[in-house]
Amino acid sequence: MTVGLVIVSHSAQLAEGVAELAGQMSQGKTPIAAAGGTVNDVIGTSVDRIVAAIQSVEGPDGVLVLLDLGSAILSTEMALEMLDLRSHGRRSSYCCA
Amino acid sequence: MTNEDVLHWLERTADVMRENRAYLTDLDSAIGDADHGINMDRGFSAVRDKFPSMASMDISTQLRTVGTTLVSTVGGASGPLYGTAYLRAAGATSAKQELAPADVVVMLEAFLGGIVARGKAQTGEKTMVDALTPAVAAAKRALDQGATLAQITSQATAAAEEGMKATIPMLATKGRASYLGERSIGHQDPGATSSWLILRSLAEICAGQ
Repeated sequence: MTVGLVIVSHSAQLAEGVAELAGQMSQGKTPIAAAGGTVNDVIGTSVDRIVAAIQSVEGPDGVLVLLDLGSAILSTEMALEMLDLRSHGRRSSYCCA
Repeated sequence: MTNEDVLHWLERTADVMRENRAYLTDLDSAIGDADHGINMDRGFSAVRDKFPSMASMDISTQLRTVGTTLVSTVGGASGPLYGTAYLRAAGATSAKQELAPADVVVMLEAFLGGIVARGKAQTGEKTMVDALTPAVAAAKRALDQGATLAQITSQATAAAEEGMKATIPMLATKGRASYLGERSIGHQDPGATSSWLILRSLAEICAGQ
């Protein structure tokens, strides 16, 4: 079973750092994508980035999205909604890290 | 209300967000994370970049463009919140070449519905909903009394302002401000304030017609 991981943070560097560390720990067996920051790499979250990250690591067993706080929750909910609109039967869940 | 009027409303909103960037951020620094003005200005600046291509769009497509742009550029919780609001407003105005007063009220109701659905908030929680809910109620009342579009939007704005001011003594139970508990009391909600500014921009455009 392979579940893709998406790391959502307000900080692009923080998300990338977590993805880098988790990537080494899983020895590349788990697809991991970072979705941090918003346009121009300012602090924030972007629905577009989260959608793209989910699509990039989504496997047959689904995706787990790990978040920091605040708008990361609303942005992720919106991203999941947008993906569900395009294709049913996808499996994804999220939780605040 | 034509697509040209909607574009004027959006242009006015973008200007107002720029003018109130520091004010909204100050309000947010008291009870949030001090970025609401910065975020709203960034989002509406990205919308402003699309104005040239929006002139030829119909109303629904204009509103949809605002929604998708805010969602990808605002960065804070107001991105998905206002993004959903404009997307719902777009859905409520689809296939309309012009908006009659009743259509504008339906659009405002959809706008509020988007915020409520995304934020799962009710009135009394010190949020955007506290400005928008009385505004939509006032707009409906004015429409039922046969008011003009200028009167409808002006009364909605007045109700939003009252609702915004009523957030000052409220204890926040939704959003970042709720982390502060009792310390959130005594501060005006920044989200309710930006909602009032959006409606005030609409009323200004409608008054000038």
